[in-house]
Amino acid sequence: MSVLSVKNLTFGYEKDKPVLKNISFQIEQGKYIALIGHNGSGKSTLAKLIAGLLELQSGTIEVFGELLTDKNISVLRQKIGIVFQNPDNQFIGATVRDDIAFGLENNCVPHKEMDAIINEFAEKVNMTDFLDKEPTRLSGGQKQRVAIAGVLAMNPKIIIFDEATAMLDPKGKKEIREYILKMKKEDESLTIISITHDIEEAYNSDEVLVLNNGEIFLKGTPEEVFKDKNKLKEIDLDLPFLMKLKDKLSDCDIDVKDVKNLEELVNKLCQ
Amino acid sequence: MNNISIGRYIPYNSKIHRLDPRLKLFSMILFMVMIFLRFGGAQTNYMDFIVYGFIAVIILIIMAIAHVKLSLLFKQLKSLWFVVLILLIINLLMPNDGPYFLIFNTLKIYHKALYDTAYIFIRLVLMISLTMILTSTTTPLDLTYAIEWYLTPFKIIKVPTHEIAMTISIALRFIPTLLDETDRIMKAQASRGVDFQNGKFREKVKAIISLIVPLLVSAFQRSEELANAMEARGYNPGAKRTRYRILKWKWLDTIALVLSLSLFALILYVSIAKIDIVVLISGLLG
Repeated sequence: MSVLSVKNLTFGYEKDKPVLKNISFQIEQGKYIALIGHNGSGKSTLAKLIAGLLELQSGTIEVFGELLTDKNISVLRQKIGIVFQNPDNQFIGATVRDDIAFGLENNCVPHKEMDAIINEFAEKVNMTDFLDKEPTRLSGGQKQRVAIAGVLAMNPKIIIFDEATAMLDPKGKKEIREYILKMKKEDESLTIISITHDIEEAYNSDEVLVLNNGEIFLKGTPEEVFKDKNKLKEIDLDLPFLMKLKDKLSDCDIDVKDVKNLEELVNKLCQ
Repeated sequence: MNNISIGRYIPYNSKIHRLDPRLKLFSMILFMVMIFLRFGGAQTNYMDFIVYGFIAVIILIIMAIAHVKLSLLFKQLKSLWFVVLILLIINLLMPNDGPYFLIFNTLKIYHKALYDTAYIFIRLVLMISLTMILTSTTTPLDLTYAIEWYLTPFKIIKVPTHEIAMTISIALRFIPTLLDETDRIMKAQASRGVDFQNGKFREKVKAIISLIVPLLVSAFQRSEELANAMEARGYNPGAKRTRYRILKWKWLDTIALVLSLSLFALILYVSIAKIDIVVLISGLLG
């Protein structure tokens, strides 16, 4: 079932300068989608349009078969969660507790149920010990974990990560990636759209969408997309480490064509 | 940048900390009114000081219960000596009459000038200690809720009380973030050769502008991202929403309310009836 379908979407912040040009695609439920592309290729704009933060100019967006309009935007928004890049600028509450509660308050969750929900989702992202801490006392990774808990608590069906790990240190990046994979495992029906510059992450996703200059440049499974290395080089996108390694090995006449991941490659080479 | 101790919340689990913020705000206003009353007859001025001493003792007791350290108060008062000096100079220059003593046989120092300075100084100290107790025992967020509660009646005349409270709480939330940012920009500009400490007035203004412009730009960027984050999480200022933090009135609050109201009534009576304790006591004795 397609949870999100975008048709002929064109959008520009200024007239005659479209950021997105006639984009159409569909996303199936339960998929992990990686949206990659250079800065200014329109990735974040696309995310904001899907989340209903920008007004549509032309084209349509359907969420769970329902057309996104001004009227149903607040209803459909409950199905879409978005985690932004800057950990500081999406921390709304005075403490971790208040921040997770913010979305619940907006969704009119009764006061009595809030504490249980807050504790449940704080535990999911391992922030139980920090519930009463202010944002200044948290690291970037911890703040992003709170942001994830805040989004998860609202029970969305689609979660967009808009470069959610870009401002974190390697440890924080790894942590957040693990939490994303964990919640994907816990709820198979959850659809994740991850906007990223991380080619490795894209390589491990279910489907890759490459945006370039506001147009869909490539689309398909990671194998399909990264197979086309000349086309990727055309827009200066890097290849995943495994792909590069396989290329180099092929050049040396070592047959590693069927290898799917790094582990298999190591095994094969050790034979 | 980090030594801003005025109005900072000090976490502790004292009885005063646990009181309802609405009560604390109300009591503080009562105390403020008490401080601004005048006591005793027109000729005698010691009654003011006796009552202030009495209020000071009560404030000290509250501070002890709240575990607010006296040293913190002194730290804040340190920045006050300049104000006292100016007050003293102004009072000395004011034309006065009554008893005086002479310095160097020429300079007249009126008793009243010294008295007025002490009078204003004591009032200032009392008010500062009161606000310090309030802010160090109440989280800014709780204070915001209290303010919102007091503003509720104004909803009838379409005052957006909830929006005001939300704005205040977000402003409070971003103060430390923006201070960090200020620090970062100052360092960045200093590394590019901007001197914030030395130089003529014009150069200093220029240096400050090089701080303020990037700070403002980044604050606007932040506010846009924050607005997006709030909207994405379903915030709609006009719509109905439930509340996570609910202020609860407890029996301790009622006791505190009765205590502060009776204190207020007592002080008000002393002020209006122009009671003079010295006269009263000597009357009782004789």
